Amino acid sequence: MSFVLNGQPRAWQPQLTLEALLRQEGYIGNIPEAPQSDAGSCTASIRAGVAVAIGQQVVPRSTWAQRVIAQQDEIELFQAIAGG
Amino acid sequence: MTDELTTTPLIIAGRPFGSRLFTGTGKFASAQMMSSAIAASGSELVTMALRRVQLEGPDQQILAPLQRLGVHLLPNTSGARTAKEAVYAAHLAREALGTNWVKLEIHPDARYLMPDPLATLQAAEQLVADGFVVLPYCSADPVLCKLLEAVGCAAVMPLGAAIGSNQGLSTREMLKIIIEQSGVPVVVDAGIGAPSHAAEAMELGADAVLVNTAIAVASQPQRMAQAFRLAVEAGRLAYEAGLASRRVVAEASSPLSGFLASLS
Repeated sequence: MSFVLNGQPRAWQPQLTLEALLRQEGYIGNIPEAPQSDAGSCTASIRAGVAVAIGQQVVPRSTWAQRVIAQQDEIELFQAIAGG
Repeated sequence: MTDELTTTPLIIAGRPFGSRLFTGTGKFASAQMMSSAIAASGSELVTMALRRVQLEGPDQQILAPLQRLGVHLLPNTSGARTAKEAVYAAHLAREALGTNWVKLEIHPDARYLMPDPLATLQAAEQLVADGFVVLPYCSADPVLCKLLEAVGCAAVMPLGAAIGSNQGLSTREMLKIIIEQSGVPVVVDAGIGAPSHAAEAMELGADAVLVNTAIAVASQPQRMAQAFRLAVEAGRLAYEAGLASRRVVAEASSPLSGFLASLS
């Protein structure tokens, strides 16, 4: 039983939310230089410039805490980087 | 009347810009170098890209320095090869950066990175419907630019030459037609390799230029950014001042009164 995060299979756990997964991965927590404007619905700071999609559907930040990861979910994590 | 040495502000989708130089954030040797160059450029709109996170890779922290500069962010859809991918990338960028502005770019071929006109038009129409302020990177095709305007793009961004090629305005004659016809701002994007190219685009009447490589890979990016800033200001000022027309034959700048004829 697994789900996929950026192409890598992960062990699935019941009731694991997207927010909890992102916390495990270090995208929510004590993040240096997190901008003040980024204080979303989560209590901890969220790394700036990050977006998440499941099955190529963008999951709004405000729903990360409610979104429970299902088996076979294909989660993609994106980040803003330098570009022209 | 405007101040003699002040050019009129540019307005895109209701947002005024004091600077007509837009800059990219790619290819800089460090975030510090990027930051100081963008500050020196005076740019108020800077592009960024979006990538799938490399879970074990190094983390690029360029967003915080950009936010400290107070510039507006213009995420691009670079990497998209189809309209569907570009629309997906735009929605991700809106979520990641909290802006509905997007530089739409779709280039299926990596050798020349030429934008796909059909896919760009299709994606532009969809993104406008989805509430985005769409600035499409496109071929210097006057008909395409009018079509992009018609579907609701906030500006058009025709290319001067291939991305990163530093060739200047190889599409100059087409750009002139685009500028003459456009009802939305024209931002010359790609190929601008020297401040003189930027000045040339502005003298033609382009509303702005977007520069990345030429600044980022200069030996001294900060000084090059300042050079581009001056060139864009000079070019715009010249355009607003009204350039003298070209002539085939000479027209004397001094009186030819013939007073020396008596010496012969």
